[in-house]
Amino acid sequence: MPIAERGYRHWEGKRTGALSRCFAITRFEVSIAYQSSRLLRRFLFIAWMPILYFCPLFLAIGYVADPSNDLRSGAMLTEIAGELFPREVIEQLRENPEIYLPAIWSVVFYLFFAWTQSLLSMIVVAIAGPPLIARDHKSKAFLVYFSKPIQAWQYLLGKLATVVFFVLSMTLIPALLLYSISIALSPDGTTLTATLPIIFKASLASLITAVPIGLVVLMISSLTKDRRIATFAWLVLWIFGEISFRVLTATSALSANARPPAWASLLSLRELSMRAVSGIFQVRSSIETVFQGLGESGDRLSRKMLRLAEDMGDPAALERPRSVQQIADLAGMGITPELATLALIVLSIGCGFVILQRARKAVRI
Amino acid sequence: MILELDNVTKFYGSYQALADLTVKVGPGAIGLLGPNGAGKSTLIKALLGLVDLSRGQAKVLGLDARRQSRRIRELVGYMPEDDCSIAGLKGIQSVALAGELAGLPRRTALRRAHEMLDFVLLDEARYREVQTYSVGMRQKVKLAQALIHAPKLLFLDEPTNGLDPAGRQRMLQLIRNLTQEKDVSVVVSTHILGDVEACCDAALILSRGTLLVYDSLPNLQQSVDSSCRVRVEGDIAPLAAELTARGHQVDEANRDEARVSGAGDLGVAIFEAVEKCDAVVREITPSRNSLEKIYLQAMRTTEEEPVGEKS
Repeated sequence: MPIAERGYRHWEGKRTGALSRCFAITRFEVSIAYQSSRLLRRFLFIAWMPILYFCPLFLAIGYVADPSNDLRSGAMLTEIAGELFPREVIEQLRENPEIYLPAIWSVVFYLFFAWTQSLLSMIVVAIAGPPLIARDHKSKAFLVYFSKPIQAWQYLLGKLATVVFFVLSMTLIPALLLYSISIALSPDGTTLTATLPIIFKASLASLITAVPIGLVVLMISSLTKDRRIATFAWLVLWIFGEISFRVLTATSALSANARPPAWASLLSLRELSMRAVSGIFQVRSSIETVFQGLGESGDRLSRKMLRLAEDMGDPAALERPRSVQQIADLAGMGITPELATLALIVLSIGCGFVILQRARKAVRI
Repeated sequence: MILELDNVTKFYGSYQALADLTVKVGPGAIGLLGPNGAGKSTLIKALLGLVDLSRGQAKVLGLDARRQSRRIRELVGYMPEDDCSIAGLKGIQSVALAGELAGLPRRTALRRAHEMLDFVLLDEARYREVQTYSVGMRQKVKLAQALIHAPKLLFLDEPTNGLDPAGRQRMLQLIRNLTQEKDVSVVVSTHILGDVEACCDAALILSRGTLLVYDSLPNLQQSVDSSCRVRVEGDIAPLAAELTARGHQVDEANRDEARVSGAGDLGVAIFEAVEKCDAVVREITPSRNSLEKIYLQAMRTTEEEPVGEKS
């Protein structure tokens, strides 16, 4: 018997669980995607840039919320906060920060998701998602996976977790960083206790953005062997959907007394996700909370904002700050967040089913 | 028994890929022979639970292929015929991933990946992407992937496909090493008869989804007629003449070699003739059937009995 044998030896040991095997797929896929695409690395870097805008905004909100701070001496910060919220709202915030601060934070975190991160996520998914299954079709890697003791759902979960990882690294992780910085910049410790649910909301919002998007891109990827076709199909689905939604909304706004059809949100995957996210951040009730304290004028203002889509012809509504209009646009139009969430769940189940069928079929050939 | 098949049948639509296969296969190195389209790959996939059987029952290492396929894949290694790899991974990564998929902890998978690549003799190239590999190197990676989780049984689907003669010899040597020294049972699916003769203990011949033959190689190679190959020093003509005179049939192959056949005790007859002719015998070998002969014979039998389509 040799003293040291180079080569094959038997192994008997405890095997890992089902989830470890899924995440092994994820780890290798993330490593492949990160190493092979410079574009992806750049976008992952760009995804953190919006923090540079939102940090001063939270600093400004924190500054104006503290009654001991003089608004005139901090004119620049007051101006930044005023970009997003009317002066009446800022005054109310100074008087009752414990009521208004959580609501305002919810709205701003929602904007962080809706304005920048959702868009950047769609781009990163377009880079990282399409090759994930198409490449396995082309290189017949299904046999490598399924000759081992893993099942189709584990394969799907491993691939989905790859997309989710990239989306979360652009939504949840920057959101948590933003939250930590904002807490550090906030006037006192009560802000932390008042705004703690935002961490949970941000996590849920990130997942509800990532999972349906991930499943749709994986379904597209499973239908072809060519990753370029999959990328093109994803871009067409996203951009065409987005344009269709915008066109429908704009044409509805131009015609007097006409609402954009509720189903218009179904055309745009990003819009659908953001509708669900608006429900998680309770944007509508947050806006109502902010404006209820303004008395009759505030009530009128909030109603006006929430119905902005119907009142686009009203010159008074158009005089509101543009950003507030956008909040109202997003909060008051399209289908309800509950319906949007339901639509995303149905879409996810459908896509998951198609992917599993495709994977099973590929092994049998 | 490593395999127990009972009326195993598989239809793809109306095409019957496997037709009522019934056989029990013992441990060791088994050659799964058959022409292209015989059903070899389908049988392996069915045994791994990757393809559902239309009828019948299959057991691998005593486990039901339908209900316990996941457990089977923990105990069995599979080297597919297809050129399959995960694009973008290096050799070492792709073997380590196979290990992790099989349930090995991360560190163990990496350590064993190195060991397996040492075993298949893939050295520095393991740090290159698999897509840059030659066919032979890819075959080695596939073998390492199949072995990493220490399977008790290994299915090798056309393991010598695309290999040069030296690579083929090396692959067969590895298979022999696994069965003889590492106590791993191996099923080698191939249409190359020489591969089976070189490394297997038994052969199972399929044609159009039906089982033609299953037996050990020594039994299969036993001559059906009694004949011997005789080689002498110098010219064989005097000995050939003596044997012909004694009523035996002699076919001279070379100047010093002939094949002798006939009734009675052939060995005694040859030695008596040798003594009479004063010849110097260098070699007397009982004739064996070549696997090729058996294979072709079996193929001819089935060609006249076409496998029916699903009614």
